[in-house]
Amino acid sequence: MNAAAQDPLYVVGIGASAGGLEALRELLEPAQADDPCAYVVVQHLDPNHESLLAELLDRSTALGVRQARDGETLRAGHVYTIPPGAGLEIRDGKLHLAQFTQPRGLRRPIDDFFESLAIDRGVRGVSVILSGTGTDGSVGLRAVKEHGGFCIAQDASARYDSMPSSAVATGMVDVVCPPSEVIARIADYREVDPARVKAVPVSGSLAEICAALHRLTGHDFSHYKRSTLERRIQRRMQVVGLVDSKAYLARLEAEPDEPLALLGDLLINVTRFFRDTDHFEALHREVIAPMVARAGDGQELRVWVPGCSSGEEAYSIAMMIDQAIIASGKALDFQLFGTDIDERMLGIARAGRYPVSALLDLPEEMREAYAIGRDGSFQISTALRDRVRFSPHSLIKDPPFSRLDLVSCRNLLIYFGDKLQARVLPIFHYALNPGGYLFLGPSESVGRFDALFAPVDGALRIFESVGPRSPYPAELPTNRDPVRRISTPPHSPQAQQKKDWTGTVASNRILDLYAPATLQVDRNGAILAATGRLGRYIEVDPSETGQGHAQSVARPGLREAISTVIREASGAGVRKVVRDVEVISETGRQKVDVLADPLSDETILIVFRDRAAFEPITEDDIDEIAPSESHVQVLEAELRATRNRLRSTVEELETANEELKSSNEEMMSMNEELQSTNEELATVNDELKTKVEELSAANADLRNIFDSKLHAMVTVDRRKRLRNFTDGAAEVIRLRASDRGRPLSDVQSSLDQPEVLSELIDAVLAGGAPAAVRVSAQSLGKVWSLSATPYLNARGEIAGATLIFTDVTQALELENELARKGERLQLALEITKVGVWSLDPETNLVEIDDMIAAFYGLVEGATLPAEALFARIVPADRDRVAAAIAEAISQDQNFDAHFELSLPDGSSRHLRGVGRLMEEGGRKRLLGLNVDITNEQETAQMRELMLREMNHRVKNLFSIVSGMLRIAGRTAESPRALVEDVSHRINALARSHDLARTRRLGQAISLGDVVRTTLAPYGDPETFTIEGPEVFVSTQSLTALALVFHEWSTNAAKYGVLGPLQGRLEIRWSLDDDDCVTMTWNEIYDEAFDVETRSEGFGSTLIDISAQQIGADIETQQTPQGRGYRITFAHDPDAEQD
Amino acid sequence: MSGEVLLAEDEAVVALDLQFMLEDMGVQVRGPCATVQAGLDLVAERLPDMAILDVMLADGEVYELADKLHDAKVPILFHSGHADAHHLAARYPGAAICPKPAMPSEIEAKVSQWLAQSG
Repeated sequence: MNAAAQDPLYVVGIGASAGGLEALRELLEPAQADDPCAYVVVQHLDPNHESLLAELLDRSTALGVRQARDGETLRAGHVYTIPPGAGLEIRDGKLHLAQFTQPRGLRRPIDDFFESLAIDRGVRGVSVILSGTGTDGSVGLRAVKEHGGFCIAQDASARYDSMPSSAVATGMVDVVCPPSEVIARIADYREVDPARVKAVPVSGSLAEICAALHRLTGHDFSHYKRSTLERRIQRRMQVVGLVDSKAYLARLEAEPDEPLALLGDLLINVTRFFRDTDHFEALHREVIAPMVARAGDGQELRVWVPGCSSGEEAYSIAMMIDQAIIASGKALDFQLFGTDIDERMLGIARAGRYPVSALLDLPEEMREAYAIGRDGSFQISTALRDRVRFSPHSLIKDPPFSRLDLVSCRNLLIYFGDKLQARVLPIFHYALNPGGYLFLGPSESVGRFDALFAPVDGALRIFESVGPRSPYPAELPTNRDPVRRISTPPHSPQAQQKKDWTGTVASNRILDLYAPATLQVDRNGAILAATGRLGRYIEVDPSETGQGHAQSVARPGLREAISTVIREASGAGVRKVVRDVEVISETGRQKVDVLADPLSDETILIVFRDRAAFEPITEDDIDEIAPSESHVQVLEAELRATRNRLRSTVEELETANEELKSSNEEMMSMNEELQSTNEELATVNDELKTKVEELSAANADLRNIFDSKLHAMVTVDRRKRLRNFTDGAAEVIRLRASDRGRPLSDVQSSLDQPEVLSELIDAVLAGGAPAAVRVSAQSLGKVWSLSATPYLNARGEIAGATLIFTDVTQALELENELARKGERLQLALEITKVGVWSLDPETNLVEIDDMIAAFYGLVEGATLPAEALFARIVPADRDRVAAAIAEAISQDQNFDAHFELSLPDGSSRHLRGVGRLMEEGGRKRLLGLNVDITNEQETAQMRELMLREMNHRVKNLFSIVSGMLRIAGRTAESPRALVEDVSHRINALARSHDLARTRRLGQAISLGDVVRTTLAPYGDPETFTIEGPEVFVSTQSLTALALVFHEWSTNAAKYGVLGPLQGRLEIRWSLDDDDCVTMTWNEIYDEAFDVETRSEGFGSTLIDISAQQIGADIETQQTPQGRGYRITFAHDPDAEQD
Repeated sequence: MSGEVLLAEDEAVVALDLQFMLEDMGVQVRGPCATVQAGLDLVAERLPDMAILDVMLADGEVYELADKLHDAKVPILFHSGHADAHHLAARYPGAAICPKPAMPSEIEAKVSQWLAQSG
């Protein structure tokens, strides 16, 4: 209750187990997002699995749901779910995860949380128990209730009602309702929070409430302390949502369950093991030890613990006595009676099962000796429980136990008013043996009965009974049957009237002093109540423990009369009287009328009315009377003996009954354990259901895989027998469904390499990881990639192998196609001498192939820094190329550059580089080609040179033609002759030009060719003798020589052997040592012919200047036999063009 | 109208034609020489009044000869099939350039002009 005062947050602990999810959803569904409570869901969860609880709940509520984290501060409007495998506690408004101390199956996380909730929240702790098996939560509930909290349990809507039923059975539950109403009920509870609502004081109606409660339950609380009563009633009113005590009184009358609920609340009693340790130590020292020391062997020690509630105190004392007896080594027995009017508390006491937290109250040695760990709690050992008998008993109404050595009544008197205390203490004195002990609570005392009890240790509330035993307090019992009273209709005016007198001073005084002595007996004569001065009429037998029969305790003379009158009255149902009965007591005789009045409640009042004065008797009288009574006396003695036997039989039966009760308790606890186990199983079952669904889904997936013709998969066991296969596999190795279980080797497969299967399986079974193998089936025209993996069973052992056939037919075709294309491309690259490079802009590394390496004068393809390649580019080109590459990368443009390499061997090479930015595996790369364009470069230069030469030559020829024309024009006889002359010469020049044109650049022209070309228009050159070594003519000399040869040919055609004369032409040349060419041109006439000397014309001028031009010497010789020329000129085979 | 022209031309026909043309003009022709060396020899004897030079002669380019003449302030007319006009104009300011094939009248006009100037 510490934090609750400052922190007004209501915390709702919700315990749920099997069937709880559904209930939780219903519960949280009506919640508004601004709900002022914090909710903590404690569900039994499998510690080994992730919990989806938070997710599931989040979908069905407006509140924020999350799995609790350690140290999390609770906030209103939020739901926190317990994580799997941890317990939850709340301290100072914060959640803490706790390790389970109990093994799985014995954990009680709901109890644990409720206990912390009770301590942390007090009246603002709300516990809700939803569907679930077992009893988790019932113990924790009690803690919540003890600290003033509010308890709700799910009604019959719970799918598993064990948990809520168990909670309801504790009597601590305030509200039983469907989950959907829980939030509304909590809201009602908050509405009447006394701290917020000005409540009408209960005190005004207290008397009526007590009266009603007495009437309805048979328990009279009117003499209890007012303050305690008021507080408890107030709380009960808050639970039922009432602020007006009158309204509550009406409810108490109207609602059949309300009286019991209020009773339960009033009886809530905080008790603990060894409460007030120092008091118990004193008890041990001052009482138990001496008691045990005094007792003789075989003696039985008897202890009574009235108001024992749930039994902690009773067990505490029992443990101490047991320990003391063991320590003393004596053969002592002891019996402990625990009584209470609250049957539910007695149930807990009998079970002897307590929350683990209570263990801390037990001293270590007690814990070891008497505590047995159970499911989230501990239980008192059976041996000790056998010693403690718990029974329902009202200290106020029921006859007390007797012959006791110790009465421990702690913290009960504090609830009693003075009057009740005054009644109870003499009862204790009566019950105790002389010298017996009374042990009271720290704030209780014997009050004015100090004559009966002397303090042994006053401060520690231990007293010793002094003086003779008090008389049997026969006047106390007024009502014996609370249960029946509850069941009778509460509204009886007569009863109402009677109650008005009951318990009042006046009626007591009347009964004690003025009313005749009266016994109330049942139809058998058992005394139910007694009043008035009865000493003259009955003997009080000290050995009786309150159970006496009127006939047997009646004094001589009266017995027959009582027997008769009871029999008559009960039979006739009307009042009967026996008059003038003489009662003989030890001291004298008395005449009385004995009146029997049968009452409506089946009891009979026996009233003694004195008829005459008391006559004291003498010894003689006794003698007189004895003979007359002897027969009756004998009969009575027999009857008494019979009764005694009957009583001992009854006692034996009761003992047996107690033993049966103990056994029953044992069975109950075992049952609880079983239930708890069952609950765990149910939870596991729920989880299994989900798993089964998952398995079904997985199975369906697998089935689809197996049914698919696309996947070819075969599984075999260790002995290579077929375990399973897909339809696709059935095609590959011709399987039928009936082949399952057959050895793989028996199956005729369509594979071309069936032995591969076996080899792969062997490898896998041996623990290897064989690489995939390619297998084919010619008959199907297919190729597969066959891989094998181990088939692992659930324990992870290799139980076989899985063969997977992947159809790679198409992939293979594609691969081959690609390979072919690749080869072609490679060939193309090689033929065209194209190299491929790839530059990574980030690392500036460039990957080059062998071709590039060859271009750059490197050994082979490699990856190297781009700088290494740039270094080979001539400085003039280097920066330009680098800039182009940088631009291509930054602008995503194509790169295209021509550049020249300067190679280490001194040679140079011209390259063209092209490239483009490409994306390769997410990285940008500049991918490019290099082409060797050195040859093209040279060819282009060559062509340029050729053009220039040709141009020059043509211009030169034009100049020559022009000059020739003009020179010829000077001497021409007629235009026709001029044209013919010049055109022949031009033709000759053209033919010589042909020679120059067709030869390759820089190559000299063969002299023979010049001659033959010149002579071509005059017949087949083969008819002429043309002989000489290979001599070359430079282009420089060509024109001149061509003109000279032309003039000679023309001359021969006009006047010689090529023309009018018959003869032959012999042309010979030689090369002498001085590299001088000498050529002879001889026309040899067949017949001597006397040639007339011709004038030297333009032709000879041309010859002269041409010879002069090439530095040649020419001699001409004309004879009748022929005409000869001799020309000598320098041989210049290396001559370049002019 | 008289003067001495150094004619350097390795193409015999062209040289002869130019010689005829110049002699027709009454100009004394020295050469024609087909080589640079021959030209240098002639210049070493005596400087001409003017020079008509083919750029590419049998033994190489005519520049050595042209330099000598240019230094001696002899007017030069370049007559060449591959005359680089810009180069020549830059190297020999004031020199006349007639690319081959040139109309004889062009050369005639230029020679006449010089003769007139010198005369």
